[in-house]
Amino acid sequence: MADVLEIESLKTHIRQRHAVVQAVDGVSLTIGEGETLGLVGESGCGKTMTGMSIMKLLPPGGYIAGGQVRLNGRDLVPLGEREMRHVRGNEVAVIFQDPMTSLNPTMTVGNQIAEGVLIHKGVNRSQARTRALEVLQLVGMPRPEERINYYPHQLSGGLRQRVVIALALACEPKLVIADEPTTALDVTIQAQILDLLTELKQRLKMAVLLITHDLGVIAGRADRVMVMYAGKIVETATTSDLFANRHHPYTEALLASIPRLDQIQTEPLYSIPGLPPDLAHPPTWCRFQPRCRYATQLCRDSEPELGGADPGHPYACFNPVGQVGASAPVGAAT
Amino acid sequence: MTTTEATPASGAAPVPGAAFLELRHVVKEFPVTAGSVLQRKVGSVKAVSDVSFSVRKGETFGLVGESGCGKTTLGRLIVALDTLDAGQIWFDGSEFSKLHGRELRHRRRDLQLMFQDPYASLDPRMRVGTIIREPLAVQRIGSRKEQDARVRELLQEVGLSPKAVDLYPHEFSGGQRQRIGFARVLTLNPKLIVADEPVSALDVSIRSQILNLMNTLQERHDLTYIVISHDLSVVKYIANRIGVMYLGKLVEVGPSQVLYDHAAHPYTAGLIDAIPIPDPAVERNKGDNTMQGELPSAVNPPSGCRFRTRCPRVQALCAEAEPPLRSFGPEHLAACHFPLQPAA
Repeated sequence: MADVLEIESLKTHIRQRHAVVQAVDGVSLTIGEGETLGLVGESGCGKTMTGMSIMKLLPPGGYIAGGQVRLNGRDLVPLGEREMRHVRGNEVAVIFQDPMTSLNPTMTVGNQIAEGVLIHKGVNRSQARTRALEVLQLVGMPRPEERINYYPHQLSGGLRQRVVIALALACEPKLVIADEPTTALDVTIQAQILDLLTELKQRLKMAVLLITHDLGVIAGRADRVMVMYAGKIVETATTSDLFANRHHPYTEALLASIPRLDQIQTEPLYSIPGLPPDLAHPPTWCRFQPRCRYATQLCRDSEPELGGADPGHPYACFNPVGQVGASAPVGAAT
Repeated sequence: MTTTEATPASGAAPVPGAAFLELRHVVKEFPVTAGSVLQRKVGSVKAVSDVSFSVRKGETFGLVGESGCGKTTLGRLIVALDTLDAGQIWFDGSEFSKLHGRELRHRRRDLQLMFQDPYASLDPRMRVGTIIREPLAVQRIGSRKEQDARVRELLQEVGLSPKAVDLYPHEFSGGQRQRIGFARVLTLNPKLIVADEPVSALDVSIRSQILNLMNTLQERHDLTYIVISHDLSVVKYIANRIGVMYLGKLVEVGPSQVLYDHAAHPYTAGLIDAIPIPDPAVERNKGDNTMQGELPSAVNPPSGCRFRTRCPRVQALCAEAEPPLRSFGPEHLAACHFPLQPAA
């Protein structure tokens, strides 16, 4: 499997008035053709900033402070704005969270999709429109010939998200970044959209970076998972391995805080005490240590690196789950 | 508190003390108008159509459904933020939906609404102390000194430092803001709290803190909750009984565990099936029974059973007759012609 995307020691910082927030601090990852990599973590952990660093769509004050982002072998970090414009929407596309705000309300969906094709593929108007119709059919839009002339407000949330996906796929990108693609949708629609994404990924052999906070979504759709905490990757493995043998206490705590369907009501849910650290002043010790139930003096003195016995399942922790002092599993975790 | 089954067909006067909150054939429609000057009424959104159920004192009743199913409208009707078009709401022995003016204002303190978004529901220009004190000021309860003491007591109750009094909402995280929201809701010692998506804006680790807080507060104050959510795993965890709504109708109601193990309505089964389970083995063996289609328009709901356009078990009868709520066991009702469970 050829690697479509390779990120190496990426550091993304955001300059603020009094400080520099180190939002992404040394993240490395790879995604192969036809593979879905799940990036999971809580708000503010840097998962969206990692995705946006690939596109170089950073907020004001944001910049890449180090590392490489290679797309099919070419480093995107040194590219200028002009060159990036050929990459965005063409080689890499994003599916944003909220279909209500990521479409232009003043353009018909057909014109929005055709616009990208017109710019990137050097085709004429009618060819671009034909392509727009094609991708609308591809994403399962009912009655596409009619819907191509609709404005976004005339469509429901689920259909709008299908338009956003059609927009992303129109130029046949090699990499799709799906940033919380279903968070704004109802569960029944969420299942439909995730099914669609999985099917299209297989058919078009794209690489997908699936960014989400929902471990349930990850469990069903990702081939591999990376758990991110406070700007760093703390654990990574294939999906089945991660859910079966979690090593990092944060991964364990995340899983234990979700109410399970077989959860007994009288038993309180596990909750992670405290808050994540301020990334403007990241600590020099383990970032999860103040909230960790297994923390020892070692965790307060130095910072663990990604490692471990299995190169296919590295984790950054001195006291991994089930080894030192971890007598009983947390909460309802099995 | 003896038998409190949601018997939608009963027209008799409620037995005092039987149900703490009882909704009887509640209807709410919103007009759809056309034209800029005359505003002709061209139709109506049937947000809540003939919904009946009852809630006992001290229990948690979950209300689930997709966006647009009318669950939030129902919540607003319960706390009297909106008026009914038909039907009755009985609360604590009196017909709440008949109250007006001063009496309504006075009784309203017993019912509180907890909002979804802790970023939008707290006034950014008010200090936390003022926000929590406001209900006391509006209801003119106690002196300024007594009010201040109550505010400090409430902050401690929800696990915040007394120093929070002088801070502004933006100085708190999402979970802390939701705690402030709870303090404000508790100010007037309500008997029933309607919580509309209390945790959906929060991260998973914070979510469990708030759910645990809700359980603690319930025990300590003998609170009754109505929890409105689209997230079935959350509702299943927190609620004793669950009502499932679809397009303005209550399609199934029953004890949480019964609903999960033996759902009678295909919609309930579909909703449960759609929840992503954090376990790859379960998630990958789900097969292909994703519910198709989307919620139809509430302006022109389908004839007969409203779910028939998306139902895998649909037959000719479903388009002709609306299925009544039938019993499927103790406290378990569902409205379906071709249910997944045998009717009791």
